[in-house]
Amino acid sequence: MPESPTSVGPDSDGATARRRLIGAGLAGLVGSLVLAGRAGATATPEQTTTTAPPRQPTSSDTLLLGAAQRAELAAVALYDTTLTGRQLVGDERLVLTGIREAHQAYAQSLSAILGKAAPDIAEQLVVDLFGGPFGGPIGGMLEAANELENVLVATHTEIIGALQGTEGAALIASILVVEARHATVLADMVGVSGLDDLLINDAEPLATTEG
Amino acid sequence: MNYGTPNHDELRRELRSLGTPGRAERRALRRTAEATLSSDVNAADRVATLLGRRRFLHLGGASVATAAVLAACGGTESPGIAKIGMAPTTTELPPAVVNDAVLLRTASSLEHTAISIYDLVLDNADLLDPMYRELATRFRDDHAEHAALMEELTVEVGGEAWTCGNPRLDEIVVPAILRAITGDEDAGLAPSDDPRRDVLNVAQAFESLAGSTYQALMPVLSLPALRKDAISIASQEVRHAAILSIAITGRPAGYMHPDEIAAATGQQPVVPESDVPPVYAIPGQFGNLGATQLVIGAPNEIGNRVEVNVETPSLNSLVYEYLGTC
Repeated sequence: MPESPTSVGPDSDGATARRRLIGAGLAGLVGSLVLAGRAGATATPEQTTTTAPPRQPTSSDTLLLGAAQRAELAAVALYDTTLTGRQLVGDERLVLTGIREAHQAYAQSLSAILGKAAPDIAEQLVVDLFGGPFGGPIGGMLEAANELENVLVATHTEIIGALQGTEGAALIASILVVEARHATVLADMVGVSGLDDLLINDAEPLATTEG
Repeated sequence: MNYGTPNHDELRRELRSLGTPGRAERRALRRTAEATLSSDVNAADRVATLLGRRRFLHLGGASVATAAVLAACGGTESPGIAKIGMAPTTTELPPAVVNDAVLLRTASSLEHTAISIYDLVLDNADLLDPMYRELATRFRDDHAEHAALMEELTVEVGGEAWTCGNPRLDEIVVPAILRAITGDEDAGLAPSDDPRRDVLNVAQAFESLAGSTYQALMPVLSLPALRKDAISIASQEVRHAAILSIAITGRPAGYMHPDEIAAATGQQPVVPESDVPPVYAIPGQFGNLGATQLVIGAPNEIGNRVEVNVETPSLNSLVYEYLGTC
């Protein structure tokens, strides 16, 4: 998949700093989860298989799906910061509330598939990283929200590449394709018009490197 | 037969005579079935047992059918149901196994169908508003990259790359769409009253279809690495669809489906007025695997337009390995 590095929207110092932190700081946090799912991640197309993949999440899948749920709950917390902390009016409020509800639904769906293993807590480092702009002026908030959605898309893409169970992969995929749409809408709300900026996701995933 | 007042004695005699053959048939059938099922003989002997006895003559048509069923259920020597009469020779269908190669070939076929649709409209200002030419060219080129990746992966998993459009879409769905837009005198279809609107909607539907197709591959592709490649493409296809939705429906109305907004906020946003169903960049909370309904063409005398369901590939639209190359 061609994913050349380009920026999404006007690149502020804050966005650059967040990218660096996502690439480094969060790596340690979720690295162990990726290591747990490494068996799946190392599977290559050259390998042939005659065994059907498992449907239910494996034990390593559970860790990955739990990380996904924590990220989704962080998104809920961030949108709550925006929606409760200021007087938003009109279409911005409607769209942002709709997106917030979607992330809540994703967290609940992941909870359903994880059962007792669901962490049910927001990923605090994600909240801390994006919390500033989500509580700030609307222009910066929309940029940060676009970036957050792209980070979630990149993260879920990595998780799908590591999940063994098809049930979890199908759920994450159904979430990811709508988060990509969220990112497009938020970019449009910011005023991004370059096709590369709209179409290419250069965001760092939360869980791509070992800690 | 006396149609007047019934004579009771005569009636009883009639009924007895009618019942006699039925009882005899049931007794004969029971004897034959018991003899057949309790024996250790093979299937051929069972047929002989059933068909070679004189009492076969007493049995009706139902008994013949029973014999065929019993023979078929029996031994291993006869591979199929016993034939009665002449049947034409049948040609066996080639094996239609659904594996990674078939799924990847189907994915590349969809990409090529999308490419051919963009190629049809790119240089036709009647069909594509020139203001969208750059956008359509970019989307077409993205599909070419996606097709190349799917073809490469097909070869990597041991299959033959499929480098042309999806046969079923190209033979059935795309021609129906084109007829609805350009008109078909023989079918009584007038040309569309707004071909440019229709073409954008067609592009939006096919981009959504592509995204849904890759999403649908998640539970069926056997390797996580393949799923990752597929979903990476899906995330770009749905961005295409979202951009087109905003272009078609406008902003902010085209951002999110009103039902989603109503469910989240309790407020019912104004639904944009449109001659055709509006499309939205965010049509729902989760990715949809259902069909995309496309409403295109000129309205008929009662105001209805042509409706085409664009569906994710199913068993009848997969590009099986027995199709070879194109």
